[in-house]
Amino acid sequence: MSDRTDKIREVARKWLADGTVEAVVGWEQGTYGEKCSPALARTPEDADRLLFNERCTNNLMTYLKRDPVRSMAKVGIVAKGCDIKSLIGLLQESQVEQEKVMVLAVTCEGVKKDDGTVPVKCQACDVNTPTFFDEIAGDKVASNPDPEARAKELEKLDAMTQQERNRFWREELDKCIRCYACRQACPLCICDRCIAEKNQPQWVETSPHPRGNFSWNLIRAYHLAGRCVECEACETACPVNIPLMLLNRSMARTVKDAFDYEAGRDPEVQPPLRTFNLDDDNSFIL
Amino acid sequence: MENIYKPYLVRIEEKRTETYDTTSFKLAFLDDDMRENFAYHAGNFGEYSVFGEGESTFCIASSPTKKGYIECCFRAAGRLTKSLAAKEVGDVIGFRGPYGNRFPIEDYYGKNIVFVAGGIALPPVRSVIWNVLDLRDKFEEVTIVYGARSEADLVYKHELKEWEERGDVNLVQTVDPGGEGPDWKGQVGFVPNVLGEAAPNAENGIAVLCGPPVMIRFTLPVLRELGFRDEDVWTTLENRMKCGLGKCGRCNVGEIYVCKEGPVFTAAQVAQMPNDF
Amino acid sequence: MPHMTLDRTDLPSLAQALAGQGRRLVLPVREGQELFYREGADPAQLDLSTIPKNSIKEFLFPKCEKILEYEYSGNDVVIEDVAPDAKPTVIFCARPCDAASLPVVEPLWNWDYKDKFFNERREQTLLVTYACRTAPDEACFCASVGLSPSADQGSDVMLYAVDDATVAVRPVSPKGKELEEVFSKFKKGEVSDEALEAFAKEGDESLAHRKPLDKVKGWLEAHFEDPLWEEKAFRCIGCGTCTFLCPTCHCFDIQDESVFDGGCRLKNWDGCQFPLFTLHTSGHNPRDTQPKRYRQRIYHKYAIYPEKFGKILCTGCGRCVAHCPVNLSLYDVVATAQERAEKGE
Repeated sequence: MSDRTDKIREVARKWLADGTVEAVVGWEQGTYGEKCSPALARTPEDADRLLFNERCTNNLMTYLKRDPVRSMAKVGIVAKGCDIKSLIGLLQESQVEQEKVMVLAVTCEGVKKDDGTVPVKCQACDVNTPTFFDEIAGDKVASNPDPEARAKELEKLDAMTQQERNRFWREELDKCIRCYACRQACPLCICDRCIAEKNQPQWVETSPHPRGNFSWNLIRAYHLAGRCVECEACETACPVNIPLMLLNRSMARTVKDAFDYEAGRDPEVQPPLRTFNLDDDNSFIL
Repeated sequence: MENIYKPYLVRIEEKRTETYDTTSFKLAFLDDDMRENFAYHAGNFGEYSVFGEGESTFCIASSPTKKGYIECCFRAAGRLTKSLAAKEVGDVIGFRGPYGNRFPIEDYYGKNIVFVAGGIALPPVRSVIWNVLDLRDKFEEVTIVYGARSEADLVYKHELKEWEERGDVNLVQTVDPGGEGPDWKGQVGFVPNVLGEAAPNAENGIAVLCGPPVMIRFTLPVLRELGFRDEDVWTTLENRMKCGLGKCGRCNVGEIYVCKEGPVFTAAQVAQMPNDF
Repeated sequence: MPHMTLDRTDLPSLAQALAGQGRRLVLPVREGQELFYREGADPAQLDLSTIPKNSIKEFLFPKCEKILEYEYSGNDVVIEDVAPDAKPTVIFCARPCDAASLPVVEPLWNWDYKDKFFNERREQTLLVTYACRTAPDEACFCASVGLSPSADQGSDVMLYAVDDATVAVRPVSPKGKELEEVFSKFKKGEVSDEALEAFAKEGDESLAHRKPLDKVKGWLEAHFEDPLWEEKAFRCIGCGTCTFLCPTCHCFDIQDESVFDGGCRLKNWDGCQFPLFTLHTSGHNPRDTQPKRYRQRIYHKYAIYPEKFGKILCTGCGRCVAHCPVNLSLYDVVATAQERAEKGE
C-alpha cells in the first residue's frame, strides 16, 4: 500500500508543479480512528499529505459537482476502480468534460468500512486494476469477484411477499430525516437544483414524514436506475442506516434483466433510460 | 400555552396592482378586537400566509397612525408571493406579527428628514413617511427622493401624486436613464445622483433609506458628503426570514438576528456587520 | 451522604417500572453495528456499550411536527390550533451530553416567544441519565465545553455504574426526587459520595486530553474572513448529517401541505449547511459557498449563541466528528481556533 502512496504523491507533485492541473483531490489521514478524509492539494507541498490505504472509502468524484473543483479548468482526482465507474457515468452524460479530469487511478484490494466489514462492492469487484486512467499507482491486483455477492443481498427482499416488502420499505424509509447525505455523497446526483428543492410546483414534499420520505427515496432510486454504479457512498453516508443499496441494487438488477446493461463500464455507451433503441422490447405494452 | 406560530386571519379589503409584478393589499383583521386595537410601529414586519402555500416576510407598509387596517406591498417572485398576488378582495389570508424593531420616530422630532427609496423598497419607507406626515408639525423639512428603473416600476403612484401636491413635502421622483416615458415630468438619473442634486438639509438631519444593495452602496457616500452622519442614516435590511421569532436560525448576520434586533439599523451598525447578508 | 445502589441486571426492570407509571419509554438499543435511542424499545434489549448514534432531540423536537391545521371554506379559512403530542415520557439511560443539551436550547425556545411544542414536551419528559465512567467514544469532547462524562445538567436522575455489577442512583431534580419510591424497590446497597467522586474523576481523566475551548469565541469574532474556512471546509459535502444528529442544533423550516379542502402547517428540521437555507427569492444567497455555510455552523455554536444566551451551543457529544462521512471534525476546527487564539494569531 505504501508504494501506492509514494506514487500518488509523486504524480500529484509533478502535475501540480508543472501546472498540468490546478489541484489534486485525494485522501489524507483523518482525525477519527483510522478514517481517511478527502483532501485538496493545490501545491506540490500539499501533495505530500496524500495517501492511499484500505480506509480510503469516499468516492471523490462527488467533488466534481462542487466548488471549488467544479470551476477549475483541470483537476486531478485519485480514484479507485469503483470511483472511476462513476466518472464514466458522468462522461456518458456529458456532465464533465474528459479533458478536465486527470485520473490518478489506484489499484485496490478492497476497502474497509468504519465497522471493519468489507463492502459488498469490494466482494463483487472486477475493477481492482482500473483500465481507465491517466496515471496509475500500485501493482496490478487480480480481480476475484464473488459472483453471488450482489445477488445475495437481494435474497432477503426476494423472499418477501409484496405486502412484506411494502411494510419493510415503509419502516426503513420512515427513519429518513431528509438530510440528503445520500444525494450529496453520490457522484451521479448532479442536478443544480434537485427536484426535492423545487417549489413551483412542489414536486416532492420536503417534510420527513412517511409519505414525503417515500417520495424522496423512491424518486432518487428511480433517477439513479441504470446510472448507479453501486459505489455505496450513499448508504455509507446515511446517518440513520437505511439500507439504500438494497433499493439501488434492485433497480440495477431490473435494468440488467431488461436491457442487459451495467452502469459505469463504457463511456461511449448511453445508459438505457437516457436513450432508446428501435429494438427495445415493447412486449410489456400489450 | 399560546401557539406562537398561529397567524391572525385578515381579509383583503383593497388590492392594487402597483406594477406588472408588484401588488399591494389593504388588510383588515377578521377579529373586531384586533382590528380596533392592533398596534405596531413603523419598521415592523410580519409573516403573511397563504394557507396551503406557506408564509412570506414583508414589512408592514402602512403607518401605525392609521387605524383599522394594515397594508403590505410585495413583488410576485416566488411560490408564496405568486399565490398571494392571485388572491382577490374578500379572500382571507394569515398574518403573524408585528415582529422586529422599529424606526425611532420620536428621535426624529424637530429634525430635517430625507427619505430615499428605490423601486420595490418604497413600502418599508412609506410606513415611516406616513408616520411622519401624520405628525407633520413635529418635523422640520421633509424630502422624499424616490426612483425606479422605469416609470412602470414605480409603486404607490397615486400616493406619489398626493405627496407631490402637498406643500409641506419636497418630492423628487426619478427614473433611470431610458426609463422615462413621453409624459414623464420627474427627473431622469440614478437615485444617488438625484439625491446629491436635491441636496436636502443635513444639518440636524435624519435619512431613512431603503433600496437594492447597489443603490445603497452608492447612496451612502452621497449622504455622507451632504453631511449626514452614519448614526443618523436609518435603513431596513432584508434577509431571508422564516419564523420571525428568533428561533429558526436563518436570518442572523453575524451575531445579530435580523428578525429580533432588526430589520431597522443605522448605517453605522450596518458598517460593523460581517459580510453575511 | 449515601446513595442507593441497584444491580445492573435490574436496569431493564427499573425501566419497565418507570414506564409502568404511564410513560412512554425511550431507551438505547442495538441495531446492527450501532445503538439508537428508540421509543417503545424492549427494556430487555437495553444496550449501554457506547453512545447512541441519534440524540434525544427527536423526542423533544421531532423531525416533523404539525403546528397548525386549516380548512378552506369559500374565500374564508378556518384555522385550528394544534396541541403538541406531549405524552409523559421517560428517556432511560440518556448520556450526560444529551441531557445537558436541554438546558442549552431551552433559552432559545423561550426567547421572548415561548414555543409550546418544545416546552410541553420538556415538561412531560423525565431524564434518567447514565453517566459515562469513561468517555465512550474517541470523538467525545464534552470536557471542552464545560461539561463532563458525569455532568448532571438537564437530568432528573443520575445513574452511575460504579462497578460492573452495581449502579448507584442519585436524584437531581425535584421530579427525580419524587421517584425515590420507584427506585427504592430495587435497592441492594449503598455507596458514599466518595464513590461518586471517584467515578467522576475517572471520567474526567479519560478526557484530560481535550482542551477547554474558552478562547474560541474571541478568535471567531476577530477572524470572520479567515482562510481557515476555505481550507477546512473543502471536504464538506453539505450533507446535513452533523446538523441532524446534533443534540443542540435546532434550526427549522415551516412548510404547508394541503389537499383540496385544507391541510396543515409543519415544522421540520432544517440546517444551515444546505444551500437553500439562506437563499433569497431574488437569487441572492449570503452564504453561497460551503465554507461560508460551515463558518456559520461554527459561529452559531461558539460565538453567536454564547453572545446571546451565555452558553456554547454544543455539548461535545462528538456525533458530528464520528459520523461525518468525510471526517470533517468540528472539534479539530474549534481546537485550531483555540490554539491560534492562545498563540495570539
